Amino acid sequence: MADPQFDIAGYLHFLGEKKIMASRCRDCGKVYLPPRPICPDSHTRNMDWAALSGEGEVKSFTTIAIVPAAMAARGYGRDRTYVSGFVALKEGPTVPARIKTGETPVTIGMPVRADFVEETDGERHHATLVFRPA
Amino acid sequence: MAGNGRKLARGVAVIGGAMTPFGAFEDKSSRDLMADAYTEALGTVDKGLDPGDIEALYVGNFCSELFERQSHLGHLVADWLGLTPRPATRVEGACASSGLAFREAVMAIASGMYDVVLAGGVEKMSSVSTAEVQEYLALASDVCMEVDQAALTFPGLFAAIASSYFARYGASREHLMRVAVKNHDNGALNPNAQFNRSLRDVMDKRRQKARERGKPVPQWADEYEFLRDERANPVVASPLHLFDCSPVSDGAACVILVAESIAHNFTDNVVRVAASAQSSAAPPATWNQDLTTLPAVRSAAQQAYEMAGIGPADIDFAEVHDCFTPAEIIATEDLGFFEPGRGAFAAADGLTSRKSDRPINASGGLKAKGHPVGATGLAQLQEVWHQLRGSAGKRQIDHKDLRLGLTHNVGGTGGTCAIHILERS
Repeated sequence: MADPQFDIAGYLHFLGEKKIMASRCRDCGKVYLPPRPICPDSHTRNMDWAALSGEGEVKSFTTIAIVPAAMAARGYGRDRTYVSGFVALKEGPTVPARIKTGETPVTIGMPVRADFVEETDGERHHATLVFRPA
Repeated sequence: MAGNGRKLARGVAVIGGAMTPFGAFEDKSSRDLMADAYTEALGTVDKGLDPGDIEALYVGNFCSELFERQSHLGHLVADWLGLTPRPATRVEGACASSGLAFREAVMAIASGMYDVVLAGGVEKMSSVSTAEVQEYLALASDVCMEVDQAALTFPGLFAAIASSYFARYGASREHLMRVAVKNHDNGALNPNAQFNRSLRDVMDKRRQKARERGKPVPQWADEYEFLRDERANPVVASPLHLFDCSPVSDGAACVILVAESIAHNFTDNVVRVAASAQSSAAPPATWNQDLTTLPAVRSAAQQAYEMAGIGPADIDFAEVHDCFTPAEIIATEDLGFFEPGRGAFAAADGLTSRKSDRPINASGGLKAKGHPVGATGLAQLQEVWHQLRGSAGKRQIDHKDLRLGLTHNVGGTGGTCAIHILERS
């Protein structure tokens, strides 16, 4: 692929390399995830890449019992639920993601760290960002 | 965005409005439902309206291409209603589609372009499986980030908002239950409601079914015990259970708008549009620290109050977008009816009930009335119009004089919000 751009494709490309790359506005310093081309604060297109640590804490979450088809295909359902929610990253941005803690119950404020998994939806393979207990 | 002091360039009034019953109607397409709402709405115009006088129509619809394999709904509706060659424009803003359609109609008249405009909204959802409904509704979120990456469902997103609210303000599922019980009680008085019955009626029906099948008859002391019963009310996405979610619905709603200057040709009981406001917001990941307020609602509410020259305390009653029970609680805060964090407790104290000072969702709301997503905004508007005219039948709010009614219509998880205030002249 050509050089990754400040967009969703660029974000997913870096996830495949196990990196969380955000865009940082060179004019105001604000960090955006997923990376975006235009800064809503400065209204400029003057972005730089910023590598995020993947450390953060659970901002909110839910345990999903009525699952979408893609998750049903992976064996999830009423008898095998999963947790998803929002993780606030150390560097500022929040990201929606699944939170995999095994037997440990998820709580708001729980420290978590990023992990990267390869997933298949039908024909499509993609890297997915998930979080595990820090 | 603060309010910008904008006013309509000329006054706009509502002279007719109706909705179809909401429910599952196997043999009715969107066009048919829209035609039913239209015929009914024409019949509500006090002095009558010649359909030939309608100059344009706006049709709110979320995704007929997926639910019915039919795009380009505008011209088909115009044809079915016998209104071609008038301009027909489909408007999409997820579950706020017909709030936006109404707003387009308001602006088309206020601009001076037209004097008589029809605003319709419709969704036909029951033709696909529940799993497909869930998948299609999720398309109103940020699909790449929230669905493909995070596997969040639509109830899941509102569940995360509820979890955040609980953690910050010490509320619980018990508060959500109050909203469900109230809205079902209200729906029991609404003949067009999909759940035209209270939760007590729902419980009786289940007991009767158990008896007929010779199964053990469940014993619930009251509605709350029923809602706490995991078998009767299973979890969808914690903390949301089945009875926290609005149902899958088919239905249409329709309102007829005219320039206020000619409203007296159609009725002596004029209801004018006091405010029309709309805002957008980025996905929830970008919101405030804890997801307990919807920025687009705050912004649209501020614009609406400024345009009407009033404050939240002046609103006599409201129809709010309770797609999930926590959404009603947060709406009552974002609209300024209660302080942040007080909405759940206010609901539990009965401050939103039909006998309260400011009834919320006297129609039964999306929860009991049903939620054919593209029809919801106009179903709210026709309800407020009927209440202001005193023509709401058994569900009429009759313990206070009604002058100002508000509608709050939200698309997605708050990405779009349309707020309207109607005023009895």
